[in-house]
Amino acid sequence: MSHVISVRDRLHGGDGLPALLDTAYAAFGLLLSAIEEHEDPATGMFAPFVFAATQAANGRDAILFAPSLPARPLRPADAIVNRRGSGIDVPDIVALSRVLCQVLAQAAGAAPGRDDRLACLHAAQSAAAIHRLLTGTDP
Amino acid sequence: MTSRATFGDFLRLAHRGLDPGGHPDGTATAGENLEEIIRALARLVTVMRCYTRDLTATLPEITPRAQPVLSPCADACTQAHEALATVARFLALRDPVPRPTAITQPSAQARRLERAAASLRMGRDLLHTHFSVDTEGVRRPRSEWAPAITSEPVTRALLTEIARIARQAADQCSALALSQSANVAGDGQARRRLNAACQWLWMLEASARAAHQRAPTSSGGTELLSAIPVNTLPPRCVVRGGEPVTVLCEGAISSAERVRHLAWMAADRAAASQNLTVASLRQVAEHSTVTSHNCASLLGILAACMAQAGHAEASSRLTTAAEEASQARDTWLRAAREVTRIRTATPDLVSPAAIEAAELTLWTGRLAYADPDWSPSHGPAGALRPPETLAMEDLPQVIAVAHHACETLTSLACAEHDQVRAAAIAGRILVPTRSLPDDYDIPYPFARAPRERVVSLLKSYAESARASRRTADTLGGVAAMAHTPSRTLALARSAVTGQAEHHPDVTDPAWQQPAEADGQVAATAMPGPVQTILLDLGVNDVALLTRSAELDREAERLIIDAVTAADPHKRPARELSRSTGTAALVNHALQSGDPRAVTLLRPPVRAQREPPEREP
Repeated sequence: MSHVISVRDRLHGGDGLPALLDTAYAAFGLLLSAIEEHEDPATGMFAPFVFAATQAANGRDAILFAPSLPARPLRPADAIVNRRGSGIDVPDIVALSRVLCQVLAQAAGAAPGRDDRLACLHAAQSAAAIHRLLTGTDP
Repeated sequence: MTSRATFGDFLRLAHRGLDPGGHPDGTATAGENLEEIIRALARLVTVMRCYTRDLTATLPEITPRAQPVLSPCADACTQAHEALATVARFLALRDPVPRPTAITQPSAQARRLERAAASLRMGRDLLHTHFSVDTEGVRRPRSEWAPAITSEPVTRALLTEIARIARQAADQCSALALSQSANVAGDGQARRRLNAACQWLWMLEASARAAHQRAPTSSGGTELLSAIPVNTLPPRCVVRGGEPVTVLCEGAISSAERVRHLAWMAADRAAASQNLTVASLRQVAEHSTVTSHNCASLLGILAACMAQAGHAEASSRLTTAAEEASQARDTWLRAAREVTRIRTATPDLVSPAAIEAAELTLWTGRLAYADPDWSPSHGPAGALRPPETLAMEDLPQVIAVAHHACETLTSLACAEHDQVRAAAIAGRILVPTRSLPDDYDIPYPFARAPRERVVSLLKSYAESARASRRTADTLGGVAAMAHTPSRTLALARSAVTGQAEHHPDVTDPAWQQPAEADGQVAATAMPGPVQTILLDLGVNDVALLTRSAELDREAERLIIDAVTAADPHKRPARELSRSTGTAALVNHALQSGDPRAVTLLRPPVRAQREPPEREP
């Protein structure tokens, strides 16, 4: 729980595009882990979570195409958290996807490079899709 | 079941084409012309030889020194091919007839033969859409049906059908060859040639019949042969919302067939791994997971319906299938998770198979859930369809939907597996460099996937294929039991795997004939020469007709006994049919179905296989 808050805070931190992309990559990884934990066939939300997992992977991959993304994670601890299981509940997944969508959409409008803009735009679209799948509404 | 043309359509047309009452075309004919009939029969025989050449293409070469032991079916196919070669020699024109200057209406019998030949030719073309020939001339499968077409049950069924056509044509043509009517034009040589050809067509049928008696043709093989569709993409049905169950079933089955067709095509091109995209892989995996989930839900509903209707065994099997579908869903979910951990080197275009897999999810979901506008991306799934909303008459179709969907999921898993393996060999399966340990010093965002990650992905596809196959096999049993339209899928599966068919005791009615007490085959309903004369005289006394039939049979037995005792290689083939009287006797003996009657004709020379001839 504290990790998801930390990631959200860093997304709003305004430490520059490379740091934002690095955090967004970690955030999508975190979302992917969290969503997979909620893929329960016994619930009516099974199909939306299965599709949301794909969107999280798509968003993560979109970030990888941004030239400004640092070659190595700025915070290696993020990857360790992803492998351990997130323990994040659904409202936090929804909230994180909303924040991701907002900051990446802003970055897509402000980034100087074309490929950075495109990467942010595609990742923002994936975050929006996660939000839609889990809530039925746009972020 | 399918809106595509099937082989059975052309087979029925061929039989109807030969049926004198099948095509009342209203054109009065002045009479029959034996030369025209010979030419038309030659064309029919050419097509039939193409079939028997296909049936014998993969058999070992037969030479004077190499006489391999063949199965009864393979032996009958070889004999049929040789018999047709002999027929073709009799029918070959020796004195070319000058072409008539005016266009004349061909005789009715010639038209029947032409129609049958055309239908059979189209039927063979249909079968050949399932194969391609590579640069080395080797025939390669092009569809999921190809293994079933070359299977033993279908081969036997096809031989049986060829034999039936041969019999039908021989019965009709021999009657004209020996006719004394002034309406039948033709000299003695034409009559002898046509009659001899008919005798060899009967011989073909006798070979097939003998093979059937040694290894009976199952009704499954015949049904499967008839159900083989043309290898084209089935038409797409559009989901509109609020469709009744019957329309949903048609749409779901059509969608499942489309996915299988597209998946086969994709797997066929697996070597061209640049076509594989991660977008397609992810879409197929996520939708297959949800389709499996929908099938599990649907099968649970069906089990409840069957239980309510008092069909305990069907309900129990459907419950088992529902559990297996749930297991298949879990394996597909693992595959979907594995796919999120890789990428491909190709940009994210979505393949036609992946697009259609999404359609299948929608169709199956609309059947499984109460919401008529259900969509996998519209939030919580809502309530399942209440069992009472399915009418009893809908149940076979709904079972067929689940059966088709599970077969499709099996095909998809296999296709994805093959494509990923080919792409991995070509180094096109990638992973984010950031997901690799720090000792991987790669200055790019993506790197070639480590072997263990590819193996893990391939393993998940293999598990999905196995789990989906188990569900499909269980549903195949239910389909056979409930006689659903999808039972041909189970028959095809059983034909290919060599498993016991679901109805092994049912034999093809075409071959069923009463047997006499002494084990001999009963005489056919066709009158023999003596009985024919009595009938021509207008005799209708039952005792006299029975006596004449006995005399005909006695005469046949006497002739067959004499011929069996003699050395058949020392007499020419046409000698016994030189006069009209002996030809009628030999014809009747051959028509009788007595397996020893084939010795009336010279056995075919089996020195070497016929060289390939030109396509008709």
